[in-house]
Amino acid sequence: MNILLLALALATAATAADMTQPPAAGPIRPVKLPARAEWKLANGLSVVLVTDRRAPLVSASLAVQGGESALPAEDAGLAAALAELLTDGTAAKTSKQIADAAELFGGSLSGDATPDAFVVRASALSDKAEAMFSLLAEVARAPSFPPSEVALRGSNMKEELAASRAESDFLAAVAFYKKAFAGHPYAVTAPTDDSIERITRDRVAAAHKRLFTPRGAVLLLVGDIGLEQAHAAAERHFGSWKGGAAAADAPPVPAPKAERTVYLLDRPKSSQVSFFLGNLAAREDNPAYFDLLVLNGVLGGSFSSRLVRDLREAKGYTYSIGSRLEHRRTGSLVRIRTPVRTEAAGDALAAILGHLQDVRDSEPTAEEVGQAKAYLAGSFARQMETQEGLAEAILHQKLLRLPADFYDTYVDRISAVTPASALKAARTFLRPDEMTVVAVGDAAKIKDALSKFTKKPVVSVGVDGD
Amino acid sequence: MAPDTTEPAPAGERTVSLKDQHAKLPALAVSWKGMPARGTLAHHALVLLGKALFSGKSARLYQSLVKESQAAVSVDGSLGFPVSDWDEYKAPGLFGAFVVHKREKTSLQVKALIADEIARVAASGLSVAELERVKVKFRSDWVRGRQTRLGRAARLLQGALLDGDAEAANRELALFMAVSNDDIRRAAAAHLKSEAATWFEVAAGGGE
Repeated sequence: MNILLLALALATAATAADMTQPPAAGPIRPVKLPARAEWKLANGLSVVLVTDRRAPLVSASLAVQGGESALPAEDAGLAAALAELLTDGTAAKTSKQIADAAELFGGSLSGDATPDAFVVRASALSDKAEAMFSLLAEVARAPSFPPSEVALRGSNMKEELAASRAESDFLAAVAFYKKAFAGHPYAVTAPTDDSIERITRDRVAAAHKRLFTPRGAVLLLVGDIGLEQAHAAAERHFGSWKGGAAAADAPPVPAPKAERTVYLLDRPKSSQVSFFLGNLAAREDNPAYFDLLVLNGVLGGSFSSRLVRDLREAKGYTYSIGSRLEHRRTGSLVRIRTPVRTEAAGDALAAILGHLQDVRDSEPTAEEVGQAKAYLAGSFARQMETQEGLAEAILHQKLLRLPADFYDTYVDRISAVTPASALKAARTFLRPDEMTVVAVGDAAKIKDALSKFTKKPVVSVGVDGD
Repeated sequence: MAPDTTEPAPAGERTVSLKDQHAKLPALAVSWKGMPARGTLAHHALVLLGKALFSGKSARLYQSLVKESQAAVSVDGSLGFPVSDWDEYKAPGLFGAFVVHKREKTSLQVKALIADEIARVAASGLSVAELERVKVKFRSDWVRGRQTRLGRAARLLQGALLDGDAEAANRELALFMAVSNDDIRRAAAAHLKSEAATWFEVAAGGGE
């Protein structure tokens, strides 16, 4: 609706402008993040402050090391349950009282489990920041995990898992990460019926006691708050926090695959086939990372990319398709995702692999590279307009241990990419002959078509990707 | 001449039953017709009521359906739901809700819980603390939405297009903050009547 309204307004406002051509894009402008201050409390907690007074808001993110990869595979879902349950009760407050308090400081409070860390995010109107810090510290340091809340979380996780399994995209994602990161903790991205059974109050509390420690943790404050207030708040709410050693990093990811493997999850009568395919690729601190990022923009990273223009617009195989780069602390990957019509499954996969081959065979055009660069730089600048966007970028840089100036040099490094450097990155990092390919659909209709894309037999997988 | 988009009066309570072969969980949706025009007191009151009922973990229907009765997995709803948020709302519109519930609960049980809560609000409004919470959260979300150029441009445009004056974007927050508990009670009683409701029960399952 917003787009329609904008279009109407632009149409009425335009007088002399030539509306048959899009306006020329201006030069890419540098983006510099606001200055930050960093210090460490005696207990090991790192504090990062970015004073940003553009809006009367403050956000605080507390990240502790560990996350999903710090818990064994049979406890899949335990990290997510723990993160959710942080805000479901403390010694002094019920779940409802916590939610009421967060609303009363004009913000939000939520826990999240990521592959490498737990993150508790809070935001507030800046005149109510003290209440926010207090509640953030309370839920992170002293959650009580009431038995009734743990039981409710478990039963709701079962329902949510059942609902998710109705989506072939969900099933494809589960199987894709299971195979792409085979045997590694990053392979597990969803709970199973059995692992949900194992979520007990004792296990949740034990995981919290082990992993929630100030050592290695980061408290990031962004917004309408100065150095003195930040120092005092960090000390007051987190200074007496004690804990053991930080969780170890996830192990290195497995070696790249030697050949392409096609996995198939049978979903009889499914009208669509969901594809996930990809391979391990460059980390963001790889010198060639920005070449790969721009190349990904040309291939499938935006609406004007080759995969969208061809598979969606020209061939009509799918409504949505995209490729993206994803990052964990010890491994990154490039992956393409699309649901396609069942009868087009073989042609669609051939077309995707064809585009992967094309970007490895010859340089993208200067126009494509220019467009991808403008899109990436512009999106980045818009992300930095909000405190939330700024906070997420800095948190990502800290948690993935990227160079401190990673985002300060981001736009410059995008600008430096050329068609030749993008081609080189494609040849190095896009490995269509070694990709993990997952299809979820009606096996009776697509198995023969899929078998043409692998030298080995197509491998059947179940709902948990095994 | 602009077409007449006045909505006919609701024709009584209706229930529509659907079956979704691919759904794994049943759901219940509801829409009330006959919503007030944008910019009226009732409009502002129903926006805040939508937040009090559905938005976040302290919301009444989240507490009643997900926590207390444990009948539902998720609840969502608001004035304009699911088509437009409050800022782009323009009557004729709907006040709607969507609840995914557990397989062992019937849609009648879920409906009774929703109807009870609506009746309670229509009779006595919100508590003082609830109204304050909803207002503080609304103010903070309003500020948050104005951080970006696109967000600010959209609000000026909506003011110009939907309120007839771009300056309306600068006045709206005060109007929402002026809503009283009595305004909310009156708006609920006038607009969330059972005879204006259409319920959609979605049965899950069968197919893969």
